[in-house]
This record gives sequence, structure tokens and C-alpha cells, in this order.
Amino acid sequence: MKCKVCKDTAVVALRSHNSAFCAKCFKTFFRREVERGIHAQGLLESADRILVALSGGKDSLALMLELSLMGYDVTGLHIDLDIPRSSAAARGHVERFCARHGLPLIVKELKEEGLSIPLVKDALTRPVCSACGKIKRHFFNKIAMEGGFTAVATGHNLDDEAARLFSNTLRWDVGYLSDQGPRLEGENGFVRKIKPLWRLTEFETANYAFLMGIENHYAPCPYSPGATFSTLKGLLQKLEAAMPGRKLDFYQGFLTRGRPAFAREQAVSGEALAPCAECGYPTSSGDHICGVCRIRHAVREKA
Amino acid sequence: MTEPNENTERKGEGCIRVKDPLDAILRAEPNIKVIAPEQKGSRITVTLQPQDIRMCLHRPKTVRQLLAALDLAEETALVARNGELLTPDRHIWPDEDILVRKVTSSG
Repeated sequence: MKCKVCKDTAVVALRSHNSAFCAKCFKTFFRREVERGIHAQGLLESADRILVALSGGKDSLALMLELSLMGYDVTGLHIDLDIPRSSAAARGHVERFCARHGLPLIVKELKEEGLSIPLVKDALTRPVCSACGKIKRHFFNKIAMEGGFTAVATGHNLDDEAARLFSNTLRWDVGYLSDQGPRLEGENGFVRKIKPLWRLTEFETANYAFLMGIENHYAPCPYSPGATFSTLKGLLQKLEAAMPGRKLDFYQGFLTRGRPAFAREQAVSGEALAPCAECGYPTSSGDHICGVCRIRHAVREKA
Repeated sequence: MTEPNENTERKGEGCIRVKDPLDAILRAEPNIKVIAPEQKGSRITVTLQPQDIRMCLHRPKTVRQLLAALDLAEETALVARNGELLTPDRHIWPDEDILVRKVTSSG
């Protein structure tokens, strides 16, 4: 198979683009897709100060590296979840990556907040994954606000977004369908959230990470079987194999034709935000304190 | 008369036979997972990530056949040889050591 651009031996074949690329031309393709994603959804301005959430996985590290190479002002943020073995390995990958590329990094330890994920897991009767996500998003926003960052970027890719959309659609969850997308506005105590890799598949970011020599953390979280999302991603992957390009069509079509309708519905029936009585950050919970402060209470009561 | 070399062995008077490639692989890596040990002929070794499983299987002729043998769809795993990524049409040769890295994050 030859590179579509330069006719050298291809190293990546992409059925959805009916193309194959050599290493050099694939990196150019990747850059263009990130740029298209940023410009199509107005994700970033050149003056933005971007806090990039770094889990240690391939997607977040690839995003951080590519945004820095594009000349954006990026700082990494790693949340140390304090999960035995797993967290130290993930943090190590992030720290080595940032040191190697000379990129600034902030590490937030949940242990110092009394919110180590093993403690949270013991204190809750429901699965820990949603609480973990809530805590991470809380600190992404808090640290971005306090640090004067203008955007929080995450490494969600097209597979993540299509699976999330599929899940929200199966439940017809109007609240989530009204604002799912690569850009969530910064307002009412929230910093703008962006997903610059939304046009790129997991396979494409994995190829990019490999070709750029990124050493990422790939062991799954010991607390997360990931069954629901793996099932949805598997279904979409089968669809994509039979009909290449359908995943991007599904997501792009939603952004242009589906989301506006759900946003109008949510504007009429949605819940208003109010500051949390304890931490001051916005919440829609309606009972004065936010989800993270409720988790803090649960952990203290369990102790 | 032909003398045995590292790939062959003497079998009876004046008779040489080619060693089973699996024997050499098992001597080098006794704990490797062997897929279909009853199959004779050339073999390859594979490192499957993220589980970091080492396995040995009957040689597929192409990357596409390798993915099928591992029950993986195209574009769900990277395949590399000596640090070079391989497209599904690329040939795989006997005794090669291949990296297969699944790309779907489970978390």
C-alpha cells in the first residue's frame, strides 16, 4: 500500500478516508484534522491559555504534544487519584512526558483533599466511575479558574464522542444531548471546555502517539470494567467496518442538525445553576451543595 | 553428505530433517502461549498489548490475516515490526516478532 500523498510505503491505512499515509504525511494529516476540528467549532484563539487534562493515556498526551507543536500556550494538569499501583504508573508517564518535551505540568493530588478514590469507592453505594469523573471535572474547572486559564482541553476522540452520543440517544437524555459537543461555553463559573481531537478516531490518535514516540499509560483502571462504553464502541466499530465514515457522519450530523433542537428544548425545561453553598462552584443539583461536596460528606461520614 | 545445522537435525542414518520451529521458540521462551500447537510449519511470535501477553502462532501471511487470527477488526489495533507500523496488506515472514497493540481504551 502506497502513501496517497508522496507514494512512499504507507504505514497507516484509513478506510473512512479511503487513504493511506507514510509516517510524515500521516502527521500532516493529523495536524490538519486537529486544525479543522478547532476552526469548525471555534474551539481556540491564538491568545488562549489552555489547561490540558492529562490522564497519561495516548489521547491526552497526543493532544498536549500536538497543541504545543501548533504553538498554543499549554499547561498540563494531572489529577493523581491515589489508586494503588495504577495512579503512580499513570502519573509517572505524565511526568516523564512533560519533562521530555519541556512542557509545564500541574499535579493535583486527591489525597490532600481527602478524596482518594479508594476512600470514595468505600463511601459510596453506587459505582465509583461517575463520582471519579465528577471530582476530576470539578478540579479541572477549579484549577483553571484559579490559574487564569481560558480553556480546559480534554483528549476525547471521535470514538469517545460517538459512543457518548449513542448512549445519550438510547436514553433520549435531553439534558446531555442539549450541550454534548467539542465546545462547552465558559460561563457562570465554568471555564470553556474543548475537545480538539473530536474529528480523530482512537485508531488515528494511537498511530500518532506511536509515530511521535509517546510512551503512554495503557493499563485500564482497576475500578472500571468499562463494560458499557466498550459495548457501545464495539457496536459502532462494527458499523464503521461495514460503512466507513459513518461514525463521523453520525457525530457531525448531530452537531449541525440534532443538538440545536435539544438545546432549544433544554432552554425551556432545564435546571438553573446556582453556586454551591460550601465550595462556591456552580451546581444544578438544587439542594444547595454540589456533587463533589456531597461526596466529601459521604467520605467523612464513612471515616 | 549434508551435515545438520541450527535449523536441522539428524534423523537416523544419513537422513536430515528440518526442526519444528516451535521447538526453538519454546527453548527461548518456555512460558510463551502457544496457539494451535498441533499445526506444523513456520511460526511467528506476537506481543499483544495492553495485556502484555506473549504468544506464538502459525504464521499468517499478511497483517490482515494476523488480525483475523487474533479476532481483531482492522483499525482496532496497531501492528508493528521492528518499530515500523504495518498496513493490513503487508506480508509477515517466518520467525518474525510482531507487536499488536489494541487501541480501544476501556475506561
